[in-house]
Amino acid sequence: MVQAKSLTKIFHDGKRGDVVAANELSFECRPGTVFGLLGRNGAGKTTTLRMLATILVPTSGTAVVGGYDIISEPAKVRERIGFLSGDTKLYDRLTGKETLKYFGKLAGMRDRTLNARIDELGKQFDLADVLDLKVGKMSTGMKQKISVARVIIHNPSVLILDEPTLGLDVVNARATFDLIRRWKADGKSIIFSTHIMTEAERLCDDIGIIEKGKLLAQGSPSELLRAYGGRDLEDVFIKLVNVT
Amino acid sequence: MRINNVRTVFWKEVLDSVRDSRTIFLMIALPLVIYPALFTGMGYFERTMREKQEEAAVSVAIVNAEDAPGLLAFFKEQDKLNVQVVPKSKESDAAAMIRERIAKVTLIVPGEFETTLERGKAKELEVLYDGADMNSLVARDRITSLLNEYGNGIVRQRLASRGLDVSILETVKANPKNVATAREMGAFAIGTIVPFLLIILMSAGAQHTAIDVTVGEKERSTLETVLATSASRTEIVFGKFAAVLLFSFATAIMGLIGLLLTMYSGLSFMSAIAEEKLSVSGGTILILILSLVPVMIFLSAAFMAIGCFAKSIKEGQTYSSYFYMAIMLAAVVTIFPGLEIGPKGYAVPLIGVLFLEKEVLMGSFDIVHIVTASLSTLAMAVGAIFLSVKLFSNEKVMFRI
Repeated sequence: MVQAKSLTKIFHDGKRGDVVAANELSFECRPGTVFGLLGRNGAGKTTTLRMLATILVPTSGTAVVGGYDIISEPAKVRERIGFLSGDTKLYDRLTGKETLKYFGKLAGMRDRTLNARIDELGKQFDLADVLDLKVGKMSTGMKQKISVARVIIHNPSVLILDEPTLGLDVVNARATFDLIRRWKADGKSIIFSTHIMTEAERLCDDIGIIEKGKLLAQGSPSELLRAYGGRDLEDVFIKLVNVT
Repeated sequence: MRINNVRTVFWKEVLDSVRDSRTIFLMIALPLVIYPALFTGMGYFERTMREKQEEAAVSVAIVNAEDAPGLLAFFKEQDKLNVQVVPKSKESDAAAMIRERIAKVTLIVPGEFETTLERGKAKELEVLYDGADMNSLVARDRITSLLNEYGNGIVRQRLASRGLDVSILETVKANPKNVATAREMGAFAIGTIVPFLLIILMSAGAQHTAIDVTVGEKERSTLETVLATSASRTEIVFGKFAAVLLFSFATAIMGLIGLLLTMYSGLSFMSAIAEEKLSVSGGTILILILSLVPVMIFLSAAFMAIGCFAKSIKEGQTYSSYFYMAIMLAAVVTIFPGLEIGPKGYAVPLIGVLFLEKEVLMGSFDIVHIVTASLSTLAMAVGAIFLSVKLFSNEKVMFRI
């Protein structure tokens, strides 16, 4: 479960002054659902997800992630989340197995449990050809498999995915969507950000449309279409953004 | 702080760094091969140049030799000396002869040179040479030595002509005797140059690894993922710091091995140790390493702090270079022989430890100096680690937002 309560983040820029990257954001993601943050580049999606992952500290407001407050108990939050960002990379000089072991150990997993989990994920994601290969020598698809396995290695109850299909081809993007659906079916709470409307439409149970740090609208795709009209989410988005 | 997380980060950084060819080059190849090659090469070239100079004939031009027939004859009797006689009319060309390498040294004999000497007086002789040419400098020394020998010969003649014995010139004979043992001489030689070299090596090992595991991770976009794990910022920093410290230590040990190989190779100018003119004990080596531990910790922590602060690898390397130069300047001060610092000097981080090393290697154990020097450098190290944790936890610094 994820509950954001008036999350706000203000950055001070020497030239531009105070920049409000996230402005009193409140939303909820229940277990077994996917909440999508939909917005343009620079809308505040990454900042919001980083706050939920305790990488950034909110200027005001807070959130409860996996039952723990991100400000008072950030370490407990991080034990219960898996964070994946489309523009973060893996360690080129480590093998797939070493990468998984590293993050598994940092998640507090013991060796025996970790090795068993790696075997399990190896079968689930068909990692046989990548476990002993150095990341630097992997194709994009192989890296994505390892990234995804890394996120889920400790079986977190909350998944925070920041543009996870960034840079992926159609096949790999589709595979990622399938995984997200599977995790949803497993009862995980999934926060997912994207600027691609069709992705949000296909995956998300609830969507928050964000622009200049503000949530312009929230609801399921069908609710948003009913409320704002248009053929698809793209029409809804354009309408909302043009109004502001 | 959970030690398991520190250990996990540490081993990952070690594994990652060891697989980096640049790290292996800086840590093993450079200290083990290049420094010994450098010293051996320097020794070889120094010896070769010296032998060449000893074997080569020195060319000397004498202007107005007509006024110094005795001197001319004396010079012509010498081995490996090419004497060119230049008429007085060509005196203005004397300097040009040296610049054009016609002669290495030119003597300008003043008028009535020999007749003045025969009257029992002294006469000055100009010796022209090229101070920017090593061969000319060597030639100058030889010619000056020959002139002194010629002058001494004249003194003996003058004394003999007055019926005096030459032995009246002999008064006090100094007979220096070195009471330092071979071990003490070894410690002196080692204490002067080796700490300086080891600090350079430790800095190289620490700098590269520190930049790579901090700002390098930022640039390679792998940092966010680690920050989202359950490891705290402090645990991550300590794990990285431990890896930097290990590589700094390893580089220093490799450098020490390289230096020892150089000493015992018999090929370098440090081969006096192999020839048993100096002696280095295992205890000396151990003291050397132990006394540098606070310095190692400080350097590792300082480079970590620089790496945490930098926006890019390039920026980190630039800041590190300035810091590196400051370290070298501080370290080079300790090489100057005879330079001593008062008791308060031992409280100066880094410099205090270097002087302490010299002192300890010479067999002097002052507990106040040991505690003061070690604690001051360790205090700086703790400050640098604290700063690294602060910087690593600062969003503005880590994400430049």
